[in-house]
Amino acid sequence: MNLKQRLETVIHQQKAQPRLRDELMNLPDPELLNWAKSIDESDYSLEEWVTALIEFHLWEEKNKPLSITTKLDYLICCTEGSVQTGKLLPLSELLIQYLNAHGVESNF
Amino acid sequence: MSQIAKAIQNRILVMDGAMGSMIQQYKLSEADYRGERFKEYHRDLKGNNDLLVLTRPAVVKEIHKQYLLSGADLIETNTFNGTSIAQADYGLQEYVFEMNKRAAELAKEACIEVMNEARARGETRECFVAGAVGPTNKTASLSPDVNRPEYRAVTFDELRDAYAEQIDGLIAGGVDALLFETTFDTLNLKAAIFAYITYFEKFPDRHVPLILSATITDQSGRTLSGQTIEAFWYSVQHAKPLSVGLNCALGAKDMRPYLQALSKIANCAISCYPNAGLPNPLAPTGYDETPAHLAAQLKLFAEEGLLNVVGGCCGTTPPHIQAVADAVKDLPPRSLEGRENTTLTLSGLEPMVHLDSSFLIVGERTNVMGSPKFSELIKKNDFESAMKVAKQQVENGANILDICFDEALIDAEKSMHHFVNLLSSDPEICRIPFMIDSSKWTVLETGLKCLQGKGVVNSISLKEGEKVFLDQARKIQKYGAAVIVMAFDEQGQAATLQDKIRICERSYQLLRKELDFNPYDIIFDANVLTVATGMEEHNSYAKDFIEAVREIKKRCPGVRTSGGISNVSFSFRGNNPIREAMHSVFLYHAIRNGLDMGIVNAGMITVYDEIEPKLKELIEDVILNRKPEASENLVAYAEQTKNATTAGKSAVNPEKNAWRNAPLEKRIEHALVHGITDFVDADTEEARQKYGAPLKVIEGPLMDGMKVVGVLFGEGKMFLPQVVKSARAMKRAVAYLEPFMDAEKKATGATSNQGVFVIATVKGDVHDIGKNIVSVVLSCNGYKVIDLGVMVKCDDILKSAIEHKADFIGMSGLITPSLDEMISNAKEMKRLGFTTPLLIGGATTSAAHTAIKIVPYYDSPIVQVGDASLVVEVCTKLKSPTLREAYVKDLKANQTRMRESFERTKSLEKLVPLPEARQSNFKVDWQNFQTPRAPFTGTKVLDSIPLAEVAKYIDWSPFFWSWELKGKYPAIFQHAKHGEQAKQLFEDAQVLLKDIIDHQRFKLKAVYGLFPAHTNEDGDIVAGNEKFFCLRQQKEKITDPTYYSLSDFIAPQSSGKTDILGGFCVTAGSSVDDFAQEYKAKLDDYSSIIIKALGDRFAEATAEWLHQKVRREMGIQEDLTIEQLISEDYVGIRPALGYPACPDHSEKLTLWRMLNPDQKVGVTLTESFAMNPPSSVSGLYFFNPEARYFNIGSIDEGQLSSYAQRKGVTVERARTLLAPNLG
Repeated sequence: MNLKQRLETVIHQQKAQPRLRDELMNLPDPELLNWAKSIDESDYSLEEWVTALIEFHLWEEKNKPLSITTKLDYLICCTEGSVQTGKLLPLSELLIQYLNAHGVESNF
Repeated sequence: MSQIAKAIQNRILVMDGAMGSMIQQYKLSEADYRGERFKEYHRDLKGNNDLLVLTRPAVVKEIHKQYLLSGADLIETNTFNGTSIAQADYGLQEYVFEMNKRAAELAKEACIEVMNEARARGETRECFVAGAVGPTNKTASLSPDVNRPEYRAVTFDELRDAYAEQIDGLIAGGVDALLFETTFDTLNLKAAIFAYITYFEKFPDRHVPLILSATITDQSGRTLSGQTIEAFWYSVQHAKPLSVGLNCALGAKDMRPYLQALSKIANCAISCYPNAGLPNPLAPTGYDETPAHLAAQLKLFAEEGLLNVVGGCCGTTPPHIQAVADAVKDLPPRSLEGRENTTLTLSGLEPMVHLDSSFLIVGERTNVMGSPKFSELIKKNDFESAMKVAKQQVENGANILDICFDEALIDAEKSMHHFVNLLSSDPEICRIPFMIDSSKWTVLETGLKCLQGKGVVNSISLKEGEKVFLDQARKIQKYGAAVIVMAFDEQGQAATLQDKIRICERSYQLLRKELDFNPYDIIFDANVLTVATGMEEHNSYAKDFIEAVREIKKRCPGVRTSGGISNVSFSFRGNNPIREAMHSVFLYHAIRNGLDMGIVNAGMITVYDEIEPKLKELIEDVILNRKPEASENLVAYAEQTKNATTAGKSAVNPEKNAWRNAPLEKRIEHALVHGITDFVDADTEEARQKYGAPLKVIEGPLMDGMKVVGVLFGEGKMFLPQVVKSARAMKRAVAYLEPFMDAEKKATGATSNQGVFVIATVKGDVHDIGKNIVSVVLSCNGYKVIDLGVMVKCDDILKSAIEHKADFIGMSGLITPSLDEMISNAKEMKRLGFTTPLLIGGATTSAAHTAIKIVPYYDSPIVQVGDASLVVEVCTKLKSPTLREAYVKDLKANQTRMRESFERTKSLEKLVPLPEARQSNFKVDWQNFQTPRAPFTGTKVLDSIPLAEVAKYIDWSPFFWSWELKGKYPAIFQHAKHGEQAKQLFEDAQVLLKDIIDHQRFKLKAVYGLFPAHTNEDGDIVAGNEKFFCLRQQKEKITDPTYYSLSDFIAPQSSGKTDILGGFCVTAGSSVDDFAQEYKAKLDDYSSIIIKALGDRFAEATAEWLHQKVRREMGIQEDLTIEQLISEDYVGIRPALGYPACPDHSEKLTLWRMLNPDQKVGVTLTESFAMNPPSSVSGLYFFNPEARYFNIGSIDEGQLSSYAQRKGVTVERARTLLAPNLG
């Protein structure tokens, strides 16, 4: 199964919102590959990333829309912030903590 | 060089243990103490252990031999109370010489016997005798009578003479060294040193080296007489001892921070002989530490490179010494290289280190010639009021206090003695050094005999010829003081530029050549003379002084320069605004040309920038002699402004300071919001007069002003750097009010604050920038902050919390081992029944970690505060009776949810088994791989890395992050919310950066090494004689199925190739903290924090600079910009131990063994493997072009067990070391 196929399977399993599905499946190949590398570098699986993106989508609905690149960069920051203490929370929970504490800065 | 000095260079010398504890075991009776000789003596003698050398010499000798046979190289004579002063308790003063001589002979006999016995066995032993000189039971700098603070039970001269007699006896008995020990009052020790120097001036052929040892009496970290260990060293360094150190009172563990501090600054060997822990009446020796325990702790000190001489004090026995000797026998002694003092150091209770081009203010108001008010008080014998004048000078920023009683109607000697003793009873005053000022030598000497600190003599000169000049200078050396030398010779006062230079240069040559006078202790006063007198020949006086300062410093390396500033404006007596402006202009130019200190009225110095431009120009014309008519012009201007009441009103630029016309409360608010400190004293005093009570000032206009700051901060209109600046102004105001509040508190017992917050960086961690910012934010919101500093043990935090009745406890940590420390602290708090809320902060902490790992161990609220700006809100909610319940409920609910999420997370882990991960390692074609060629193997040290060059490598983004300004440099300046603030902060940092570079305030050092290396079958890296244990990624991947380990980038042994592994440690040194402390002492937290942040940036930049240098040395061609370097576009990697690719901090120990950074560049590791000083970076170098940075991430139990087994630690220990990787 190649990466895109695997992504599609996970999106379907996790019941991602249609807009999120489109954003992810339409990611240009280089960006998709970069994201996959970030997933591998992080402590989180693809499934956890997609769950976190679903959570992020819910936040967008109450706050403001963000580009997929912004959301992925934000999640990368969340994962980097937890390197020292190790993986303690699901990525979706970590995301909520960061959004509550810091919001999303305009330079994102 | 003496034998003992040679021995110290080659090994750690072991001293003996306690004599008293051993004598007790003999259970001697009164009759034993009397012996035959004193059988009929009229007083009881039991307990006079020193007497036993005459009455029971065999006992004493036997104890000596026991210690020698247990491995002691150096034994002390049984003469701790061997002065006439101590023996007066028994009426045995006349036997002092005999007792000391006999004691030395006995010890010598024991040594010779043991050495002979060893020789007979074919062994070599070298044993030495140190003549022990105790402190006596009297204090020369403290009064025993609280109602008479100026009284002393013993004088300097009495001590000096008593010590001289003791020294004579010990030398006659044949000691190899003298040991002045258990010093609790430095003035007592200075008298002993004076006696020592004088004795060997008389008998140079009998000279033996000197060992000094102080006692830190408790956790205050000070001697009984109140000095810090640094201040102590500066007071006694003139003795040029063979060794200096600590003994008694504390156990080894508690001595460590003070020993570290001493080791940093002392340019001689370091000794340590602690007690065997704390007193324990149930233990056989009366103390509770076993030999193994003591030895283990002292071994750690030796491994840290702290020791040259080690032994034991109270409670230690031969088994203790045996254990210590065994523990240190193969460890190298502390290096003595590169520890020379290169600046002026003075001391009161606290040290004063003069960093080049920082200007010192010498307060002039405690000088009867400079202050009619002070003169009147002294004439009326109103010394209490005179003390207040002194205190005000200190509070207004005086760095040194000038004390002078030269006036016809005053008995100068008596007044000097009385007043200096009185000042020494007030720690707020005597924390700074004193300048003893008189034209009469006997008055100078009287003052010096009352100073436990290192003071300054003002002054001597060649007025009475070379002999008198050198005699006085020699005595000043013996008192350990610095000296002001006036530009006077046999022909009179130097008035011209040429004469000033000539006389100062001549004085310098005489002092250096004839006396080897420390050049850093020489301060030239080239005579500030009055200008604008109307006499043309006086017009160049100010300019000549300025030029003389510049020239003198060039021709007389190391010296400082000073001047009596108010002399320059004497022509304008009665016109204070003009005078103050003249002083300001004169100082401005003189300081730029190298003037180091000036005698001025601290607190009445106009800000140069605030002088009205026209006046400034007129004054500069005079000072710099720019126009022939300059004096007339200034006089004419002065006539117009003669009736102005303050310098501020007439000399201040009216436009810039329009806010000065606002009502008092608005002025205070403006000053706080803008962080302006210039008028704080005046406005605070006005408020004090208006509101009546100092507390009302704080609770009124000051807190109102800070509330405005808080609102602006909360609204995002002010940012952290501005808040810290505001705090600077607030602190200044509160400092002004403190004496009044103390008086009020004594009367009413009232206090006022929002709450008490005890805060500390936990044990083993040294980072404090964030903690300092939080402290400042809390202070300026009315919290009383007890900041315990860094590396604070749990016991100390909790003791402080109890003592200060803390409403909150804050713990901070940067490195992952600190998280474990916080967990164990929380457990301890629960065990002891604490209910105080705990706030957790620091880069390594997170809300998740706190909720999951710490909260389960403590029942009261624990809050992780990720952002300094949130701390006040958290405290407010926790304190509020109405808000607390809901807040805590939400907090606990959130934390419970996080713990539940954590449990779910564990089951989401997908890790590949270790064998499979190893199979999927990063593949390198080793057969065709070109291993790097190292230009050398081994280590190199770089001692003085140029600051200006390294500054180009600074990555500025983290600098802003430390101030909680998010964004990347330089884009951050365009940030919509805080771009302006970032710019302002950057500009302020650039000013300090320039100062740091221009005046070499940081000392960048590096040690690096290149070692032949290969990877072994276990996947660990073998380099030189050491091994780095490596982990491998195991988290399942979705793209490139490579599971990295650092060992993948080093050629395996099986390839037959030898690869190269590098290692490095760089540091900006302890000078960062020293420089930051200078500003902190001036209540300027803002600059202090910037300096520390710059220290960190310099450390990182040095790491970048060094890595580039090493790559070039390795022949790697590259042409990268700074931005590309920061983006890691270079070949190879430099991972730091303890961070993502090699998360085990304890691997640093291996690097430390290879590079010896503790000895080579002064960087040590704490028990949590944090680097100290904090502005330090270390890591490994991999030169493989395909090496990359990566994160190990989660590992499974299998890898954990394998790692533990290979590393030779228990699985539990490995679990602790790798906790973040195990979830």
